[in-house]
Amino acid sequence: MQRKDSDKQQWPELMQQAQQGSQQAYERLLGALLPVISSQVRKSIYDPVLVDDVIQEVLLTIHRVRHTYDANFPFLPWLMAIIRARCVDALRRQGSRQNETDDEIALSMVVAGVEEGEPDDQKLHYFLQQLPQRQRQIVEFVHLQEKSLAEAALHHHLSISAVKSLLHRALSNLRRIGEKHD
Amino acid sequence: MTDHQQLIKQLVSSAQPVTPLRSTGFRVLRWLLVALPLAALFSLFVHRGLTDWRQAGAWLAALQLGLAFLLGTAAIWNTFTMTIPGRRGIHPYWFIAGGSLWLLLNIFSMPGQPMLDSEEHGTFCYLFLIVVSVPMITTLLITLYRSGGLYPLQSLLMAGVGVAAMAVSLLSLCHPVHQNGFDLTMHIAGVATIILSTLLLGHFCLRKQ
Repeated sequence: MQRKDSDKQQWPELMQQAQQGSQQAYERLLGALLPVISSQVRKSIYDPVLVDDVIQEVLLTIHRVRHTYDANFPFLPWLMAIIRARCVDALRRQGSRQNETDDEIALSMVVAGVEEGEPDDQKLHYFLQQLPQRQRQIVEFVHLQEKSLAEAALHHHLSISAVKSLLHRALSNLRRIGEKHD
Repeated sequence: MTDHQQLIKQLVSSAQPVTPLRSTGFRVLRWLLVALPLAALFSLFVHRGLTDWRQAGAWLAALQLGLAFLLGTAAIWNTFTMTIPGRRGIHPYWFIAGGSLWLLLNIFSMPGQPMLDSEEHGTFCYLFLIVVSVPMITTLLITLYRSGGLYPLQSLLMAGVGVAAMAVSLLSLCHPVHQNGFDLTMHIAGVATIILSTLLLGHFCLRKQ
């Protein structure tokens, strides 16, 4: 009789298969872990937006450190430690989160303002060209291609924190460039 | 939930086979076999005579050497263990107790009468500790970077303690069996510098992961 993926006993085996390259096992495992991750994150974090961010960070971390799972050790403590680490990181950042959110909104307004205020794309192109390459790529990916922070992190092989940091620095630079331009 | 499912699909499509980490014992041994010879090689830049183990009180110096090596190995073990999610290393109390014992042994090895050239000697010890720690910090951070994992502050702190203890044990091999207050102060300053440098370099090098 085939067991369900939600059966915790199956997770170590699925992870071992995932480590060996089985994408099917990996998809089944991540799918089965998602409700557990979600419920654990919700126990620590109350902001629904932040909850989604943290869940994605947990998924990205599992993906990054999946080689550290050892089948001789239990699976759940490994998973819980990752969830706890990402929750603690998120709660630490929560103090400065308001500033980051303000920055993200401001950055969206800068990009949107340029898009709406200028009939041509030249001004936007000019502003973005002034940014360092890495910052420009992140701004284009997140704000122009409208991808999520998690997608940007995965695509550029960065952590979500690093993506936010790059966006923050990009905003500071865009403000400075805007002031000069005015 | 849809976003999460989409992310899972992306992660799955980019998933390649991975090699599980070797056991912590194997990784510690491998690091010791690489880092210690390199550190010994670097010590040639600041070389001086080897310890005369026939002197009176040499047993105290031997005890310090053994304790420092034990502390260093345990701290490196902890560093590698703590980067693996869900694993618990040796409790920090043991390191506090070991460090205190090492300090006590150092105080016991101070002779009653003042030593000659103590200032120059103390400065040399500081320089020695810093020089031999360079390859050890570098190899440890490279190992941590390549092996991946979570990098809490405690694991970097343990890395610093491990490198500092190994540097001190190497110093014990080419240090007079007796020392004075200034000498000991410079040893402690060297240990503090190594721990701080490892923390800062580790934070800088590993934060992008």
